[in-house]
Amino acid sequence: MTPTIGVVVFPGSNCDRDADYSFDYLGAETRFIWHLETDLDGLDAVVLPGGFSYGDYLRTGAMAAYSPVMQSVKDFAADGKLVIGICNGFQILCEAGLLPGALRRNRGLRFRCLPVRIRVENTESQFTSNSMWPGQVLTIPIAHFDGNYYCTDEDLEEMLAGRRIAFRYCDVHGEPADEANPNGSIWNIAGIFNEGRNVLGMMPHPERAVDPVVGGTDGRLILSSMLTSLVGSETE
Amino acid sequence: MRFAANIDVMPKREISDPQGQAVERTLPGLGFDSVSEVRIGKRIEIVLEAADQAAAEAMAVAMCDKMLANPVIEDYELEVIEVEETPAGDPSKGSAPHLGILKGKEAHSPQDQKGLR
Repeated sequence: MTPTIGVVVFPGSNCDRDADYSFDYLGAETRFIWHLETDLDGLDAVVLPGGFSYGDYLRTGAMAAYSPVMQSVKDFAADGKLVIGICNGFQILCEAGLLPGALRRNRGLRFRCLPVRIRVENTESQFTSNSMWPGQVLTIPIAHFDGNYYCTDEDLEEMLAGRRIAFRYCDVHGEPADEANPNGSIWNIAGIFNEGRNVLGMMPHPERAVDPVVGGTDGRLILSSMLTSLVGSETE
Repeated sequence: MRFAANIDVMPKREISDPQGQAVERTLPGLGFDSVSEVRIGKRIEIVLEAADQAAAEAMAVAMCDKMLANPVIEDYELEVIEVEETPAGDPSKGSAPHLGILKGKEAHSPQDQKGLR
C-alpha cells in the first residue's frame, strides 16, 4: 500500500510544492487540499506547510487556524492520524489549539534563514522512529521570522513529563547551547508533539532536506519515518 | 444598535517584548535618554451591531478570546461605545465612529479586572 499524503494549501502557503515534491520523491502519493475543502477521506497523513498563510495578518497562523479545512484536520488528528505542521504549519497548529504554546517574533528581530542542528529528543513517535536514536543530531534548514517558541511553565512540565519534546536546537556536540538557539525558543525547542504524538509541529523544514541537490538529506528521516509507520500500520 | 469596539492587544507583562526593547534602545540615540519600559502592541477597531451595550461587550470579548488575542502571549483591553447608525446605502457616512460621532462618552472595560495594568 502506498500512503497518500494531503498537503494543505492556504492562501500564502509557499512550501506546499516542496512538501509535495519531497513526499513524492520518497514514494508516497500526494494530494493538495485547498483550505476551503473539508474532505480528508483517503488521506493517511496531512501536512500543514510553511509559508505566510493569510499574509501572517493579525498573528502568524491566527487566521488559518479558523479556515474550513482546519476543523477537518482537528477531527483527523483526534482519530489518531498523522499531522505534521512545518514552520507556518507549526504556528497554525498552536493557534488552532492542537499544540500548546505560541511562536513569537525571533529574539533579535531578524528573519533567520540557515541550516541548523537539532537533536532528536524522542524516537518513540511515528515521525522519529526511522533510523534515529535519541540524541541524534540532524541538520535541517530554518527560514522564519516568528519561531521563538513560548509556553507556560505548566505546559513545559507537562510536555517534558509526557516526553513530547521532539527536537531541540543544539550545537555540533548535541548540546542545547544558547548559542545554538536561532530564535530564542524556550528550552531550545524546535519541535513538539501533541499528547498522542500523532501531531508534530516543528520550525525547521525537513522537506527542504530531502533531495541532495538542494543540500542535505536529514529531513528524509522524519518524512520517511511517517511513511514507514503508515505502511507498517497497514500490514499489521 | 450600533457600537464601536476599540481593542488594545498587548504582549503580556511577564513576557519579554523584543520590539519594545529595540525601540527602547534606539530612543536614547535621539536624545530621549529617560525612557523605559517601552512595549508595543496593536489596536483593533471594529464596528458591530448588537441589541444593547451588554450584548456588544459580550461579542467583543468573545472575538478577543477566540481570535483577536492569543491568551498564551497577549492581554487585551477593550472599550465598547455606542455610535450613530449608518444611513442605509451610504457607507461613506459613519464609517469612522472612533473619529468623533460618538453618542455617549462612556467607555467600558470589562477586562479591567484581568487585563493590562
